[in-house]
Amino acid sequence: MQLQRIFRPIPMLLLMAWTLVPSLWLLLSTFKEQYEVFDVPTSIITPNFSFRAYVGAIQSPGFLGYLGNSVILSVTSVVLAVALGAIAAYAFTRYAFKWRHLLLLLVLLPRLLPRAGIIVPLYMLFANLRLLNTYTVLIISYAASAVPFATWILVGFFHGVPKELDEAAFIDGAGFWRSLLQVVLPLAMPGVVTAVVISFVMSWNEFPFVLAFTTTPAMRTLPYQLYMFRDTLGVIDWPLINAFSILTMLPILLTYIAFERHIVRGLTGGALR
Amino acid sequence: MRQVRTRPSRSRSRSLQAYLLVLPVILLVALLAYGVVSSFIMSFQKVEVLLTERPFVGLATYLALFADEFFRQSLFRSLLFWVGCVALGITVALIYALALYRIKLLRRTARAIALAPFLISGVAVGITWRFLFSTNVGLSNQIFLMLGLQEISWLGTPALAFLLVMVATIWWIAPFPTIMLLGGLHSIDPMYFDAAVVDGATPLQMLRNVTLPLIFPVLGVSLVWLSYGALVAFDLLFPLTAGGPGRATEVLALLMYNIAFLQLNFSEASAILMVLILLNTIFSVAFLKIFKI
Repeated sequence: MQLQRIFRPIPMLLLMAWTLVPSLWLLLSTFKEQYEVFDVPTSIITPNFSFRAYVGAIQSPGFLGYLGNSVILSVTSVVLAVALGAIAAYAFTRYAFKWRHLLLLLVLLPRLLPRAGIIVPLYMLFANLRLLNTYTVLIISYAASAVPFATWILVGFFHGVPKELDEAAFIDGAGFWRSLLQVVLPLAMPGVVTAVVISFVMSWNEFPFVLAFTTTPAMRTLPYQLYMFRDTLGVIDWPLINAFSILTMLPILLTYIAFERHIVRGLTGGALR
Repeated sequence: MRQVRTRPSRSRSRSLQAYLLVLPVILLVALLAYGVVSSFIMSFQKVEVLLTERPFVGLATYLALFADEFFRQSLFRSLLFWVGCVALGITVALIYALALYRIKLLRRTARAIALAPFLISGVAVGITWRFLFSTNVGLSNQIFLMLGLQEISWLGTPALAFLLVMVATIWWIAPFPTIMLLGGLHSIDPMYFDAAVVDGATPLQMLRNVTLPLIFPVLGVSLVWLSYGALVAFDLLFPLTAGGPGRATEVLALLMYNIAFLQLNFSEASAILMVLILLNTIFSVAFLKIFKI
């Protein structure tokens, strides 16, 4: 009995290690010197602890530009995807109209589309329109791939808001906008937060579109530049690359820590709180 | 004074309003739909980069594709990769979900950690695993060398690289189903478990006869997600191995990219996309049917 109690937490510890060890090993390496990671055995926590790699990553050519691109593209596409998704979700849950279910299905279906696949036709389309290397195509394509998920989440949460509430608002003379903004949205806030965060994660992490639709270094985002870093010549500066990785993940992780509760709840339709 | 609207005249303008409200989303999604339709058409045409003419060639591209040894190998590799990712992925997710369901200490923290990889960019995950398993610096080889064993070139050995890519993909795509399954477990009335305990069910019997049947739909949705993730994995594989060593990890998504952007053969790349979409649809529908969702 005593023995059983000791062994009980082992599966959970193993699972936590499975999730955490890869990222921790990456994080610990970022504080090391360039050649220190090649030592055998290498230290776990380095005696030469420094933020050299982070400074190096931030000062690497174009970093601020890539960061700026990532921010601009994510913010605009999140606003587009969630705002348009909310308007559509309101219509899908509050209006009875022909083809409603079919249209909703059409909106949700692209969630199961291989994103890397449709870059070929879209690349040709954008090249013909001379729109490669523009924010416009990236914003539109990012928003297009985030909007199915955002709509899906919001439709679920809008269903949960009693219709009587906005019908009452309607009788009080509220139009569509007031009913959406002042009645439904505030009550569906956990859903909105989930939609915003997941759209943000998708846009921030997006890779195939920016890889295919841009050719000039000035248009790169952080994930794209991280990918380019992989092929540095000479002895690879792993701490530098890994610090770049960590910096790329940081905004996502901070957002996650701030909204973890909403996200877990939103993703499981409220089963977990 | 407030405007009072009468019903009959309202319903018509209301449904017009509804169409206007969903229009922007439909237009955005139409861009993706355009991609699919355009690919479908291109797969039946001979598309040359510098020519505007695209003669119709019927099934010629598909026939050439299936006659191509590299494609057949890549298709087989993708299917193997799919089986591994789905089978191991659902096992990991289920075990993880059960462990998270039973844990009492630090429950929310453990849950938050379990979901975290889902949010990391595929490129960063690819780089992380590359670092973990590269020669010299990698964690795996550090352990081997410290034990006095030979170093292993994970990324240079075809079979090991394939295995590694699969494990990394599972690390990335299993967390979302884990949380979905956990949600499923929490929506079960604990009464059922108590009843099973009273009836003297062993843990394994409980899992097979009580837990799994009750989370059947969630299990199905999880499998659809894993199946999708395994078929379209591009963000992670591209920086991790880019298909190498040789072509050992060149699954269909990577082959499609290479054919399109290195060989500039858009017809063949389009045909591969159609194969991918077809496989994805077949697997998803099969899971949805089997699990009666």
